[in-house]
Amino acid sequence: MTPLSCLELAARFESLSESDLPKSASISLVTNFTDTILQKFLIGLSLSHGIYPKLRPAPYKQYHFDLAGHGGGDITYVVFDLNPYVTSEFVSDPAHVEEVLAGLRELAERSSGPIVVATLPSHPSGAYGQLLSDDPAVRAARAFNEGLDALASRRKNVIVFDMERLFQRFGEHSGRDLRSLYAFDVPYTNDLTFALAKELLGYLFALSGMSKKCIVLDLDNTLWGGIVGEAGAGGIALGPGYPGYAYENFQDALKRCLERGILLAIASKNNPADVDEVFEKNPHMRLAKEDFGAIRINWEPKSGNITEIAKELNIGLDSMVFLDDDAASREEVKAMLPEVFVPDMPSQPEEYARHLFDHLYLFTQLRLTAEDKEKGKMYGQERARRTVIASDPAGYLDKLGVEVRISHNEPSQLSRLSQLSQKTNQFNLTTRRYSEAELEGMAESGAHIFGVDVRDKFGNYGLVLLAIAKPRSKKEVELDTFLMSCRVFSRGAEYAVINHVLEKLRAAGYATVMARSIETAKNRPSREFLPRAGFQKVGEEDATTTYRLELSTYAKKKTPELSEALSHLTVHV
Amino acid sequence: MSKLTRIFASVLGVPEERVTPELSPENESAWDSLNAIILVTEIENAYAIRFTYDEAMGVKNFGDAMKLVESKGGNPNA
Repeated sequence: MTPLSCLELAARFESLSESDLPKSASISLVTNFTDTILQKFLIGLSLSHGIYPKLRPAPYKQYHFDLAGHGGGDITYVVFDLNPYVTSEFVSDPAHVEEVLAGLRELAERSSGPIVVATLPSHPSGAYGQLLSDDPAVRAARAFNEGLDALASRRKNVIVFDMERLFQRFGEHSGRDLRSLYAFDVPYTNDLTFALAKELLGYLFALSGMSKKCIVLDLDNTLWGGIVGEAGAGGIALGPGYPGYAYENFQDALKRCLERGILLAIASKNNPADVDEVFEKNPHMRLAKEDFGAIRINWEPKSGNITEIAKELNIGLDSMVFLDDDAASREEVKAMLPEVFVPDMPSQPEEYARHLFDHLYLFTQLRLTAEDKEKGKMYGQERARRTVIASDPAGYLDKLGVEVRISHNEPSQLSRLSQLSQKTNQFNLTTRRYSEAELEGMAESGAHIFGVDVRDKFGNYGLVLLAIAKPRSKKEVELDTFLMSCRVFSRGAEYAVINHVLEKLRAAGYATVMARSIETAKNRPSREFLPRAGFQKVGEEDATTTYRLELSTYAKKKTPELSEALSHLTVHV
Repeated sequence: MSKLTRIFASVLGVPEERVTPELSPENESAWDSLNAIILVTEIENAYAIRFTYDEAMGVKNFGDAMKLVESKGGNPNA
């Protein structure tokens, strides 16, 4: 969207009502300049994303009388401009910075919605030249930014927006319009104001669950230069020199997006084999096939492929951004899937990475968790696994390279193991739910708690199996719990684990293991497990089947299921 | 539609046919002082030209804007 088309939308605002749009948001705006152009851009952009903005701007230059009184609503934006060309209270009044910070603090305490506050950017020049620490304006900006950081670390609803970065994108000369500043008290050019409005709205997207989640990418002339079907895997432009270096670094930029949790997918018109060859043989590829959560390479229209990708990743079409150098493909997707965000692409590949970064406001997150960071990778791992399993249903286990790591009474695992006992329904023999404290107590009273981490060559599943054995006498032990997350079904891990558990119990001097399988509506997948592992059925009452296993005979004769599973797995203890 | 017509129609939110040389703040209420600033800056961006304050404030109707763009080497009909 250009500033002009945004203004065009904004001009239609008055003819619309709240019920015309899917969502609405009340937005407070507090500034120290004429912000009517900023308001127009906020309105136009909100409308373009399906949000009816109920904008509540603070009256011109009224913020210092009652800052807290002007904020509130779903979100509050606070933007103060400090520049070397106009005398400002921030500089002339030594107490002003503190007063404003106090107002923000009060606002943060009173408001439940987020308050996004722009930092005061440093000046490119000023009367003090390079004597920065003597310049009152520089000191005021530093004091404000430090105070703001301190406030944001105490108050989680205060979000710092780095105005400096936005200014750097434009530079002082194209970001500031001095004619507008002196004539109308409008401190920024329209382009900078438009970019500011986009960045600010990103926080509203995050708040309303509207942030984008996935970038769908074309391949030819998007991830590399040239057409792979014609040039071949080694002939595409990728790697040292122009334009290959630009494409390589665009891939690298995408990789960093993936690392912060943005999903990547491919929608390309190509022969899959040609593309596979690039992934396998071109040494300059920065993105691996596993980095993509979903891949559609065929000659069908891209809109259909993007719809399938959304289904596969289980995300909405409205959380996808489609990047393709080909205008016809972009138009096809825009026409068929209006929910997908389809930005124009720069004509030259050296602009791709910058273009990508300029659009990251669409993916704004209020904070980033460790899980978010892993998310992008896990989808790709899972897709790669599915491909291997589908290609070789009989021999996939050897190709996955499954490794099982078994720990015994490890205190650091108890919190996760308790969570597993509470969440696991399908492969769960007894469906007993335990808190962390209960597990701790059991370990102290002599139970053996086995926590199992499973990984394969595509990635790590983490702790996904739990076995608990409780002594009943000197010679007899009961398998109290045996459960496994459905994410690692069909790997044989349960057999490797029961084998280890039984060996360990035998070494501890036990002769007999008792076990129960308690039927629930959901635990069908675990019902055949005990007999297949070598347990003998000794009784049945209502939903409970009781089993028994003699450890002395077990060691001599293992079931085929057990031997088979063990031959494909590596077990670490 | 010329670039110049598009700018006026978009910023003022009026149909293309409204944008005639006679269009002015007197006969179009959307042409207020805020939109006057936006019009000037968007014209400057679109044609990569720059007006002085007096030139910009001297624009009293769409016809004036066409003449001003032309005087700076832009083609108001393109």
